[in-house]
Amino acid sequence: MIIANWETVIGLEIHVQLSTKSKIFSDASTVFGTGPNEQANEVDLGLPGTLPVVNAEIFPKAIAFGLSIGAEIAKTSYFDRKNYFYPDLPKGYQITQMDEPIVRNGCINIELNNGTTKSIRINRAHLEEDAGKSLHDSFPNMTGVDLNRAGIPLLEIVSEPDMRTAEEAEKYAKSIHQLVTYLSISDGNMAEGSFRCDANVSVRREGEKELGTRTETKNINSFKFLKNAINFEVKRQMNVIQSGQKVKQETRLYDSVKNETRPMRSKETATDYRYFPEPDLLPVSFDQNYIDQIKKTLPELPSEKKNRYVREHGLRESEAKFLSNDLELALFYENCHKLVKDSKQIVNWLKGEMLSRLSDAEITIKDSPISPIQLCDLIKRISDGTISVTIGKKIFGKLWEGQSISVDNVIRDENLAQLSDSKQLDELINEAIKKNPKQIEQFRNGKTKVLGYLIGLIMKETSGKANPKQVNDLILERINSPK
Amino acid sequence: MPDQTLAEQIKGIRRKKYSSFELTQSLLDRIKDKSNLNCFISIDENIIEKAQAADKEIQKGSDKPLLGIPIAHKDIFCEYETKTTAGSRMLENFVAPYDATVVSNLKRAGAISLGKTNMDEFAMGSSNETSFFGPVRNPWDENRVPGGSSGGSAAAVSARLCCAATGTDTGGSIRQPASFCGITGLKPTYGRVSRWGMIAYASSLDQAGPMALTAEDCAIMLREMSGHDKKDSTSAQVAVDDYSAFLSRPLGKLTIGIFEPLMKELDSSTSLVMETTIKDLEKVGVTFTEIDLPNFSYAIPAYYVIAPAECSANLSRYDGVRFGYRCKEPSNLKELYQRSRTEGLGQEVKNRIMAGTFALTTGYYDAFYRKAQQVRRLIKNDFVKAFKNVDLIIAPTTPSTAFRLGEKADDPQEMYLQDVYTTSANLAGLPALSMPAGFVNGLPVGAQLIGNYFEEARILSVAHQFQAITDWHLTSPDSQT
Amino acid sequence: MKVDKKTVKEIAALANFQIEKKDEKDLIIGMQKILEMASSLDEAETKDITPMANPHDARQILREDVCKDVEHRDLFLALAPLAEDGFFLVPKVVE
Repeated sequence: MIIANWETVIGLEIHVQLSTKSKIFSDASTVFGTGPNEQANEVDLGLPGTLPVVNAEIFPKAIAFGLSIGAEIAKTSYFDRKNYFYPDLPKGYQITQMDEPIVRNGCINIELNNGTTKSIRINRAHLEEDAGKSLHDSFPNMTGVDLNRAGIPLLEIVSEPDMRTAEEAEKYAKSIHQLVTYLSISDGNMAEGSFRCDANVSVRREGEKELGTRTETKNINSFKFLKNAINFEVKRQMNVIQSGQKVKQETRLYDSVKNETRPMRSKETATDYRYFPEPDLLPVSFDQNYIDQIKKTLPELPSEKKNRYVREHGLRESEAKFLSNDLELALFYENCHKLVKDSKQIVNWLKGEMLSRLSDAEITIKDSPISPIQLCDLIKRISDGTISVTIGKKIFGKLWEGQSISVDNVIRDENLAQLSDSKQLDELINEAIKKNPKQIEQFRNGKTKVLGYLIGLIMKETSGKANPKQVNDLILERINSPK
Repeated sequence: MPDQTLAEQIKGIRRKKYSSFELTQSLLDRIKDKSNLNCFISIDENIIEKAQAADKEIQKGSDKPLLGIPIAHKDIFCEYETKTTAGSRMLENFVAPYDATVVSNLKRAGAISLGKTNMDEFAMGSSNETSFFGPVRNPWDENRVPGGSSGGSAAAVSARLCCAATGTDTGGSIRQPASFCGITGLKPTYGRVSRWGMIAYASSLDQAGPMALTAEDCAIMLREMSGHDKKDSTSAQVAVDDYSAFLSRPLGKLTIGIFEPLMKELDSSTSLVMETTIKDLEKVGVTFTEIDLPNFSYAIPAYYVIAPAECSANLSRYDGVRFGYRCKEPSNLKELYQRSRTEGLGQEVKNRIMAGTFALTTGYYDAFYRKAQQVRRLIKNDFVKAFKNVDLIIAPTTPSTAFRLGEKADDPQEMYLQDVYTTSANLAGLPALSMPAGFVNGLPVGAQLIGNYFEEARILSVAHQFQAITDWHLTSPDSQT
Repeated sequence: MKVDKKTVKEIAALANFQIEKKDEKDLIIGMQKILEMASSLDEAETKDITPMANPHDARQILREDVCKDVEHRDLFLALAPLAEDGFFLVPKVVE
């Protein structure tokens, strides 16, 4: 939000759940959606005498993220304890990384609306365990605690306060989301809590050197809410300052129903977390070779993909971006491209039929009933003239509904192949010219639109199976050189 | 039977001189007779059945090394479906849903657990007086303390209620009570024995070890207790020696280091005990040389920052939510936390949590916690340097013999100084043993042997060969009176 | 290092202890005595010395990412002072 004479300063802390089978410090499962406390074992519950054992899988994932944002990777990293009491924090401390995070000093580019790019610095990304979940409305006068999420591995990505508008913050969050899903280090599922944002927001009058007092709005789990929460906070803080009061440094909660933020009562006192090195764990070390190996296996990133599509496939910037924005879509496209080289055609189908069907069905391309092979068969039959685009769309629908699995079978069974027998077409055209002398006259007088009408007639007669181009040519031939 | 050492009991059972059932029954009788010592917090209700099951296994020819031997566990080790209290009201009714690795390792070796021994609350204390279940009395003089925190284990072995017991040592909690009760106790190298299932006091200092009458028995116990454990990230991947096999091997050219300032602080009678010990060790072929440990005096200050700091976090889980003591009818969450913790934990535990919390706060972290961890490295470096020239280091275990119950209750600092000779081994992570070395006024005095990392075998063999020419370790409190 | 009432109150809040007036003095003394034990630390020369968090001088061994079913869930919930429908219960928290 740009309001004259005010500047907004935003930094985001994003918690990304790393996709692993087991938890960060215990071998309990991370699968979502089981009954309360069914996936909390003795370590997750913090029972006496239990000890953490680190899941090896979190490191290649965190390092892949670090390498993708051009960050420094700590060859030796430590875990620390962060001490505070809360019912969903079983041990009374969270195991996290304070002094030696695995990733430091990276950056990511976001694209602004005016087409320019802006670089957002990432201060650090560290590994930590998630807390459990408190249910405040399920029991009379009581809060229920479910510790299934306790010990879920998180990568907390902390940006510098480099964003100036809610839109920038949203774009940054989307870029991080895109990156972690591209890297397959997280499923990025926001509804299930795999991707959550905390927004640090402050405002100051333009030209002021010092940052204003910031508030932290926690656990925002959609991009829309992120934008709304920041916009609300900015307005609220400006009102506070304009009314001569001071913004209080506090933790706030976004209420998506009321579209407002409010202070979290449970976290009202600023506490001293008393970080210190986790004595139950030893330092974790990696050599350069290990890091290099991860670097080698890094997948192509969105911008790299986009550039390659433009450069090698001859796509337009906007088309390439459309594909590369979504990893699954890009992979689908690439699978198609292996079969059919006509990139434009593939993009047109994906942008048109595919996209509208997907959005009607509210599914993603991963769950598309049509495979790249099927789509390519369809494209091939159109380009070799067997069927028209119109028929192609009809077949697409049949494949989508699962009525057949083979493009050629549909064409054969439903007799959809184009009429390219020119003798049969000749007869139909002769008939049409005979029946429409008036229109032919008009055409000869320069009213070329009539041609469309005639083609339409033929297409109708052939239930769309005629090749429109061929019909066009034949009609012209007939009119210009009458027998 | 109860007077026999672990090694003798193993032979007795194997040669069918008596059954595990008979041995167990005689120990239970003795435990009943000595119930005034308050060594046990709980006795295993199924111990007779376990002994009978072991006897059946023996009949079938099983060769488990400790089959049918009744031992006792300090009540800090979780035992499946068994009450595990850590000497605290907080865990008065805590029934552990898993075995500590130490417990399962000894079970695997065939040992049967008689019960859980009394201890200072959460292992914080040097007299066993901080236990919620009342103090343990010293078998040598029932008006005196057995030492702590593994006081129940030490007194039980000393009173011949069991031939061996497990203990834990964070700043001297195996060695000091071993010294006070006239038994042998070993704190192994940090990482030698798994900490899984052992209720934490200070994670980077805690280490489990055996307590028994002889070094030979400690060797047998340690071999079964030790080994790498995937469930403990700080557990060492170092092969376990056959400690028993090393016991009688010639010591060869073995040098023990003496840090003179430690000897000078002793009173004359204790000093005499140390001198005699040194002479006896010379008889078995050991030579002595002086060493320097310039930072030794910082061990106590560093310990009393690090241990409270770690415990302040380790004991945060006792919040009345998922297990343990919960106050009656809390009106809100804060009250639930505060009253459960205040009512469930004893004064000494609270003092340490408070001091440790303070040492970690932003303004004091560097001056206390960080500084202590730096000093810790200095202490370690001193030892590393010393061990370039010597094989072992000898030191007193405690500054005095067992004191009277209540004697130091009003002077916690006097109590804290009990650990003056022992904490440095914990800070550096070195193995150290206390062995009976004589008596002063009818009370046992221990001598301490500190070894290099993972050189438990060497410590045990020196102690064993010392015990071959002395009989302090076989003197029973019963024969004394 | 002198511990005063204010410090004790702040620290007790962090450690979640309730301090009655009558216990205040004991806690001050108790804390004070431990901190006094540490007072000579500042005499140690520790310039450029790396703090040592754990005596086991080794690199962390990591666990393979394999999950196991939670055993003994019934025993875990049975340990809880108050649990219902699989949840641990605490007095209502207002966020």
